[in-house]
Amino acid sequence: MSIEITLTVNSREYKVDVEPTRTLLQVLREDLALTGTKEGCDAGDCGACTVLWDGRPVSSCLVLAVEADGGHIETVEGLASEQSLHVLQEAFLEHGAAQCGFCTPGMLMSAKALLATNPNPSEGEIRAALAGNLCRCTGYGKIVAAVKEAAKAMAAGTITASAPVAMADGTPAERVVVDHRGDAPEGDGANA
Amino acid sequence: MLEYHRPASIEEAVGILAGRPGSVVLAGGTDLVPAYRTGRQSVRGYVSLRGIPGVGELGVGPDGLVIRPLCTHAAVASHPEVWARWPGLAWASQSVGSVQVRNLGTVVGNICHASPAADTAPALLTLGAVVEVRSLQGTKDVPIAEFFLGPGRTVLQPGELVSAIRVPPPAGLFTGAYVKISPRRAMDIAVVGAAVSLRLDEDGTCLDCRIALASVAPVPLLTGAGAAVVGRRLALPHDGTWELVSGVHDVFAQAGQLAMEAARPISDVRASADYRRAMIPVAVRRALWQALARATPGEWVIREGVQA
Repeated sequence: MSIEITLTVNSREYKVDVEPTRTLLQVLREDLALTGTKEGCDAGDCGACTVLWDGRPVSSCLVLAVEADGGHIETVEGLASEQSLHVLQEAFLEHGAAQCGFCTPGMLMSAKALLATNPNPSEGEIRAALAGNLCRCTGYGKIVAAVKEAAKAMAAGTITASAPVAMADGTPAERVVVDHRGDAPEGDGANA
Repeated sequence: MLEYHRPASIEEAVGILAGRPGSVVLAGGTDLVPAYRTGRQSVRGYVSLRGIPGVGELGVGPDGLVIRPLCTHAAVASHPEVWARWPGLAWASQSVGSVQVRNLGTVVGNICHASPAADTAPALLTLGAVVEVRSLQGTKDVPIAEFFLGPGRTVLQPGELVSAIRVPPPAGLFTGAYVKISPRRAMDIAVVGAAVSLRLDEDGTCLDCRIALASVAPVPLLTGAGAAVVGRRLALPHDGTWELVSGVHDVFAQAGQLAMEAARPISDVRASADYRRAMIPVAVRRALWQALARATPGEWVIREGVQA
């Protein structure tokens, strides 16, 4: 029972045929080749698969792709423009807020959602917003510092967290049809 | 082959549930999706609620609170009026999982999953919530205290779904709190959860107090421990603010003791029964203090000579 769905991912519209067993995470990684979003626990515990669904951070491993039909999804691939990194990415770089990097895409997406609704978060608010994103390397200090720094940079400049994520260079959103009728890859379709 | 249905109305949804046994209602998916994918639950098909208009809207009005089946924990915990009128429930929803989980997980799903550790269940028990159950046969109301039968088991029969949880409006000086004891502050399940509700008269005497617990019995447990607080004076109005009276500590300790005696905890991977038993009075006392602080803002000087 394959179902055609439409997903707008990073301002680009995709039509995909999916089985109702498949998660949004699998479709992003395996069908759309957007492997920036990581699969950690695949059970909603670790936050590595965090994407924004209609602006809200969710664990994409807990969302069946069919459920997101018609939705707007933002992934880490949508953060940087052709010209520059997102202010959060710059801050993560500067602070060394990544070691193995596996949690980083999820951290960035959670932080982006936080700053979009709360441009000047306290340390407690940052930690609460990132509590669902596990990092086993950094001890979180540098990540929290990076988010603080990004908030400051946004307040000082004209950059906003809610600025268009993908097509920041003005490229019009294009319509891509990905057809995986009947041969949806399982597992290692497109590993990072 | 797994089926996926997206009905456009509750009527259509119960029709599918009745006609296709083995189908399950899919709300937030935070429990169901991993349970199915790891083989812990077999499913013939999902009946998604996402195509039903209005099903994610929280109804807040003079008649109380209506929690529809796609209302998320995030929606409940971000609503200022829910915090003002039913703070115990807002607190409970806020303590679930993480931001990512609260943006998906629903209050209705939380009670239908019927985990003894469900955070919102004790809060709803203290609020006297009513569960509205729909089937092809019609609609019936089930008091939340009669809804849970055991771990993962509720009174819901095949073909039935929960179309709403209704919470009555608070009367008078009403307040509540939820305290969760768990090793982590986020992404963790309660070792002990305590929800309380308090209703005070204008002189600070307790008219009603309910205390319910998570993770200490096969079902979320409404205890009778509030009886230790009812009729006691907990605070004194003074110049538009509040003062405390002597002995409130003892009253709250008594309530904690009664709650502990009502519990039937087990030992499991999260905690021993003994530890749970020891933590129940702690959680209950904290919840009562937090509720009282919310209802009676002031400097909390103890007025000597007035006894609780």
